[in-house]
Amino acid sequence: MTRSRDSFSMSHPLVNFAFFVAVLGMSMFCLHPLILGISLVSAIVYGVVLRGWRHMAKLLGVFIVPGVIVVAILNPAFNHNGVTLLFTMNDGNSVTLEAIVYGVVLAATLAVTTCWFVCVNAVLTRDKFVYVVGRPFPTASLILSMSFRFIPLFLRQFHLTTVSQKYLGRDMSSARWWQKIKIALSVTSSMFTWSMENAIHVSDSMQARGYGQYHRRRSSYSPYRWDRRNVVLLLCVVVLTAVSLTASLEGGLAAQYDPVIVVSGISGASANLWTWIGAGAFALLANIPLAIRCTDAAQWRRYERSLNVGGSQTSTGRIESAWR
Amino acid sequence: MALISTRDFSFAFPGAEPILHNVNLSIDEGGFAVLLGPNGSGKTTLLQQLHPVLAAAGERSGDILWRGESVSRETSSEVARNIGFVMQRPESQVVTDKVWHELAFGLENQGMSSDRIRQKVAEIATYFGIEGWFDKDVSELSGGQRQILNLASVMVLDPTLLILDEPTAQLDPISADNFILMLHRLNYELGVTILAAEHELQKILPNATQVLLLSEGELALSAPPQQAIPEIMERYPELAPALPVSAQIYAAAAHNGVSGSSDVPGENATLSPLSPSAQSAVPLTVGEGKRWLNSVLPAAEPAGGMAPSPVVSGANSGRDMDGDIAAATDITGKEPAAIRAQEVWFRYDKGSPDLLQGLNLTVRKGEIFALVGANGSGKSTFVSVLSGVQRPYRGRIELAGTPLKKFAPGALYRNFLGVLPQDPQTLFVQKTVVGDLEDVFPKRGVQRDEMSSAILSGAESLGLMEVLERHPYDLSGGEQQLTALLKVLLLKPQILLLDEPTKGMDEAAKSRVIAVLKALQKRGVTVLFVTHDVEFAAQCADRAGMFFHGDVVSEDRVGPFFSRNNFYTTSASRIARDHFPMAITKDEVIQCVRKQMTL
Repeated sequence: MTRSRDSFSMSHPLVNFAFFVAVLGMSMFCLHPLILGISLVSAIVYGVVLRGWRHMAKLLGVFIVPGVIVVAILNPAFNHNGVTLLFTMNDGNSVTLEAIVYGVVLAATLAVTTCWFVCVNAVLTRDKFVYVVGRPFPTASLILSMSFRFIPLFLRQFHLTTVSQKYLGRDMSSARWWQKIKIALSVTSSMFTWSMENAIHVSDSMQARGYGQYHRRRSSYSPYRWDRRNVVLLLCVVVLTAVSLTASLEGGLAAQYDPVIVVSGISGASANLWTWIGAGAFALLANIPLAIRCTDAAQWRRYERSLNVGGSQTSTGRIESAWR
Repeated sequence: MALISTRDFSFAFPGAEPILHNVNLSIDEGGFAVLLGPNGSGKTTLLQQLHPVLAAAGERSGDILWRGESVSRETSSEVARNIGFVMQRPESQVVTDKVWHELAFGLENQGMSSDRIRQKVAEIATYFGIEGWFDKDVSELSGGQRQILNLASVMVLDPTLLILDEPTAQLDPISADNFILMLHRLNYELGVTILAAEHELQKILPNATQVLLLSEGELALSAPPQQAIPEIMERYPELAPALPVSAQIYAAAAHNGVSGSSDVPGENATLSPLSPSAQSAVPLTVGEGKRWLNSVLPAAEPAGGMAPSPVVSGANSGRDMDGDIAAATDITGKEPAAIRAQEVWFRYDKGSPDLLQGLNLTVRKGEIFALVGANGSGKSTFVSVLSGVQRPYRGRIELAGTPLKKFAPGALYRNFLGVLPQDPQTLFVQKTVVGDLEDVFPKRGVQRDEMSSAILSGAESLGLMEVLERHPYDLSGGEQQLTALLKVLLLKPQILLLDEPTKGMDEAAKSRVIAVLKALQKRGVTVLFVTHDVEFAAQCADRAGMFFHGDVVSEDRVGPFFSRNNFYTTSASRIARDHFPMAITKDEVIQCVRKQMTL
């Protein structure tokens, strides 16, 4: 599976941003188990597509599963609300069924959010993030961009300076503590001078290229294009979100864990039409990235096949590519 | 009409001595002017004063004229928009984090619409060949790419005049050549007027239409290269070594003894065979030099093409005259190894490629070894592995017979291994040069006068006496490099590893470094340096090796090494190899030419 060419990652940052806001928002505020389950599965599948199953398995095994267990255990230990008393602890506090269930739901929300953030990191790269921030606040985006330029430069210089001081016999690892303080001070002073010097050069370079020299307002360029495909994608996100929200407002996705568990379709309330509409819309929403990835892959296969039919390749070649 | 000119322009920083005196310069539209002058002659100050926005505050008199009209407060911002400025250090003039954003930055400042910016950025990226790394982070670029990006992001603003302050001083020679070719294209194809300060004139002078010489704040010379070169040779011999090698060989042959090596016997010989060509143009490029040499010397022996033949007597005597080299080669076989690397393998991460691939190298005690090779080939990595900062995952490194691992971390760098890192600024921690140098000595147990005499004699031999009280960051790139070298030398190392020691240095500074290293060599100090500067390697080292694909290939004595190389060799060897295959430095070629003439 190729990880590099992800159709959703290649679409406009605003589409990416809208999608993640919608999905994360729904997952965090609508605590219906159906939504959480759909969200978790979609996030894991998309995460595997983007980063590989090893990465996701490691994340799940090392971080998410233990985290989920801790939260699920800790919640009933501190939260004693709920009507179904299971047993009373030694210190007199009661453990309730509702608290346990709520703990599990909280833990699931945590897991869902973490998994989605793996995808956010892979899709909403740094420059897209700068762009999204820069739409309403152009100055902030310039500052962000300059910081992203400066931070690696600073870290590199810091590393080089430490090494150079080592060459001069000032090695942190072998020094006594008072020598360490001295070395740290001289590295800090060197870095300070360097930063000031760098700032002067950058400011000269900015002014020489007209920064602050024009009366007109600065514009903000981005290499992203807003085309029909992005409009369609954004519409899908908006419509599906609207449908899920409506379903939620209509009570189809009601979920309450305290003091009584009322979850439509599972306990305390029966499932209605809105439950299925809401869950369906959300399932579609959460799988938009996978869906367009699959459609694009299918489109490419059709395209390849059409080339083969065109004649230059043999029939075996055609059969092979069909099997692929 | 001149595009930009000055009339009796003088400038002094507040409360300081005037740094520019009555400068009268004039640059024509479409011209390519090269500004030269020794370090500290006021080049940077002059260039910045010409740009209304970058001009530092201070006392000014006289006028700066743009298209014949004095630049006033009202017209200054209009003039500034027509001038592009590129500074020396490639990293510190980049503003944003992405290549495309950097290109768009100046246009955004003008408030241009996104569509228009897209067109202009696309056009400029195509012209400068940036498309391949358009989406990259600026931090991923090489120094050469970054400087091309700086040039492109200035050119996107359509300046009429482009001012550059030693733009190639921090670049390796191949990137520097690319950069200068790009300047030539801008001038030749687009008619952009160029004013560039440079001290490496080998490549830039053949393209120039005008040479400006700034000496102690005064404009000493302003003439086309063909007139300027003889005048520089005569009046400013200290600047002559920076001129193109062809011109130097030509001048030395024509004037017999002007360019320095007057210790040659028989220098008064007549040069009658030269007189017809002496009136023709001074050769500037390697090709012109070759043609001139062919015209004045008898045809080269046809058999000499394949192997450097010892028959060509002039070349051999040229080498033999250098007693140091002959002596050094005698000892190399017997002396114990100072640096020995055996099948060294190194990579940064598990997944990254091997930068050192079974590298083998032995440098004997008292030897000067030059390692040459392209940028990013891993030469600097090798230095950091040899210096114990990075550990090889396989193989063995010994310094003076002891495995590197056995050294205690503190003991290695005290009076034993001296390392000059690539960026000299990383060594500076004090506010003055002298303070920084004193910082090397331990606070206790050192005699004050012993310390200052060590510093003064070192500063004397490297030519740093005049900058001792200045802030290290205020020095020119070459002076910073010298200061850093001195700082390392004050630790009295027995083995010296130098990473690009001559970056940003003018020829005078380079010859001081050579003298200092040769003196150290006599005391038994071993030197290994990594460099792009083949001319320096040919003059300074005993042996040289080519770093390629993680290993040292084709190591040999410098003479055979460079005379065997066809592409990675000195300009002097390229010019004269048909006649004197073994002569690799320009002094050797000059001696050979003289000898041939007197026969």
